[in-house]
Amino acid sequence: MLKNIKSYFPIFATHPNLSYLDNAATTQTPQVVIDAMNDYYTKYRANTHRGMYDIAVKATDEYEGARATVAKFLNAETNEIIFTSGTTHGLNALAYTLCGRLTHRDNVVLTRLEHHANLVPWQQMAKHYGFEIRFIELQRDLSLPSPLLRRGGSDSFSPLQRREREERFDSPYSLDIESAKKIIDANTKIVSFTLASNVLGTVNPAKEIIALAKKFRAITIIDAAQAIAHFPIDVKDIDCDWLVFSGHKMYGPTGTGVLFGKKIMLEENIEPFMFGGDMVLEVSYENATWTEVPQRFEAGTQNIASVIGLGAAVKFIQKIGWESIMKHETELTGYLLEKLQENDVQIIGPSICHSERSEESLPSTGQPTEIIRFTQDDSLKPPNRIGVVSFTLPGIHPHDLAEILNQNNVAIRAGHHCAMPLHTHLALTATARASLGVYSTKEDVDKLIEGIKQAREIFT
Amino acid sequence: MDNLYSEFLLDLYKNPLNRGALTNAELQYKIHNPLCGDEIELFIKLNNNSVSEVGWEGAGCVISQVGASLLTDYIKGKTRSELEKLSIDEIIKISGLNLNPTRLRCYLLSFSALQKILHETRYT
Repeated sequence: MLKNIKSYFPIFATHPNLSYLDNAATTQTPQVVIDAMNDYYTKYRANTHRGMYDIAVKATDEYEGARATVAKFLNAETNEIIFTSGTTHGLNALAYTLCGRLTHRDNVVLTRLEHHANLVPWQQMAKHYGFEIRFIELQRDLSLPSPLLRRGGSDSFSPLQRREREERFDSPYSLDIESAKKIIDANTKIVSFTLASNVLGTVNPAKEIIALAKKFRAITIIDAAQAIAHFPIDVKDIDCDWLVFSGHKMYGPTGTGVLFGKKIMLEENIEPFMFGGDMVLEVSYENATWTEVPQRFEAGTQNIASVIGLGAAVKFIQKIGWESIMKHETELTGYLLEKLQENDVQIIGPSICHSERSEESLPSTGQPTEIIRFTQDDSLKPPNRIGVVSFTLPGIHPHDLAEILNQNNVAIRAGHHCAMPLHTHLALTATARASLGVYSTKEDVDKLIEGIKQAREIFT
Repeated sequence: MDNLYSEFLLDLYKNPLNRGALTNAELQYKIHNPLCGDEIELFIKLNNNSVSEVGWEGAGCVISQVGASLLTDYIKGKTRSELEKLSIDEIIKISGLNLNPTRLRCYLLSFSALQKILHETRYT
């Protein structure tokens, strides 16, 4: 299925020469998702949870079916899934509802590499309730010259050596668990962090951080926006209290998202954050009581067509299978990193991509071939990084690079990728970012490299 | 779009006009584009209420830097009321470029700095 995967996405019929490398911003939509939404509009449009007639029953079935599909996808219970408009909606809902009980004695722990969506809501609540925000640091210490900072293609390390060096004493750009141990304490009430960085591409050690938070009974929240399309997430295994993501970064429609909450959290830890129709049990002129979980968190008519589309997107991912997706993306990320380094591009993030399951068979030079060896079992471990690769070219502004690439039908992102504090922290004004999806190919990467060479000729 | 980076543009980028800070400038403003971190600082000296000297400092993409060169050259000798009447369309026209909205923000960064200066000093 991966071989002709572009044919599943109509955008590539419209733009056959498009090399879309901005998947961290949003992914393209497969025809099956568009069809699922169209079917709702053309065959059974009705409001959910209300009508007594056939198409209303069908609409409710499909909507609730999407909930069951998403629940299975995360290994959650069906009534632990709340549909939102996206990650930002989910995080704001949590910030607004969970922070009300915090005081100036408490603290909320985030990391240095959060997207604005997992920073600004907490900042605003901190201004209101007076709690402290603490940050888990990155391992890269800017005050020390790192032997790995200039990791151009000119260094003499083989990928294996480089990986060993990164793991042993540098690991720049990954979270420093020691700093997490220092700042998470008895006054920590919430620990909220991204599972995969939208700038550095690093995958964070979620279980370790959650174990630290649990020691002090802090509520744990995972922002899975960047991770959700790239490796399987099992909420029971990670044991997080909350997890949020968006549909549009996983081949689903825009304006959809998921807020997973453990049942006990939904029932006893938060109150509804939107009030209105479809979330009430009994209403008088003076008072109201709430219906069951999760319905009580979905007030008003929902984004029905898109939620059904999101369900179709989950099924699309399941049909390709995690094993194929991860194998393809890990290999291609390795290829992208190698090519960038061969061309003396400064990568802002881990310079190699490997899975925990990797064998000691890293290539010494050239094409990164079989770095990973996935087995048939379903306990696929996440790789060290995803295919979100930020980089800089000396003397060339990311905007200008993006413009040249655009002329070559290559779409990348340029700027600070909604993570301005991280860029400031790393002393960068802006970076260029190429991010891979399930349909990305070596040809796409080659076109990117061609564009980089062209930009060099033009601007330097 | 294909010829955005024309020789003229690249030449102007490599050999900017009016680049450099002015000391004792009556009007001065530093602006930055939150989208990309580009910065431009504009310096204007006035004589008889018209622009006698102008300079700029900054770092950023080709378009924002070229925009500063073109703008500063264009406003030389203009009076304050002439500066106040400058429109976005007029500033775009002097470049001859066909820019999309994102790049237009880069190009107009220096013009935004000028408008800020004029706004902040409107009662002086």
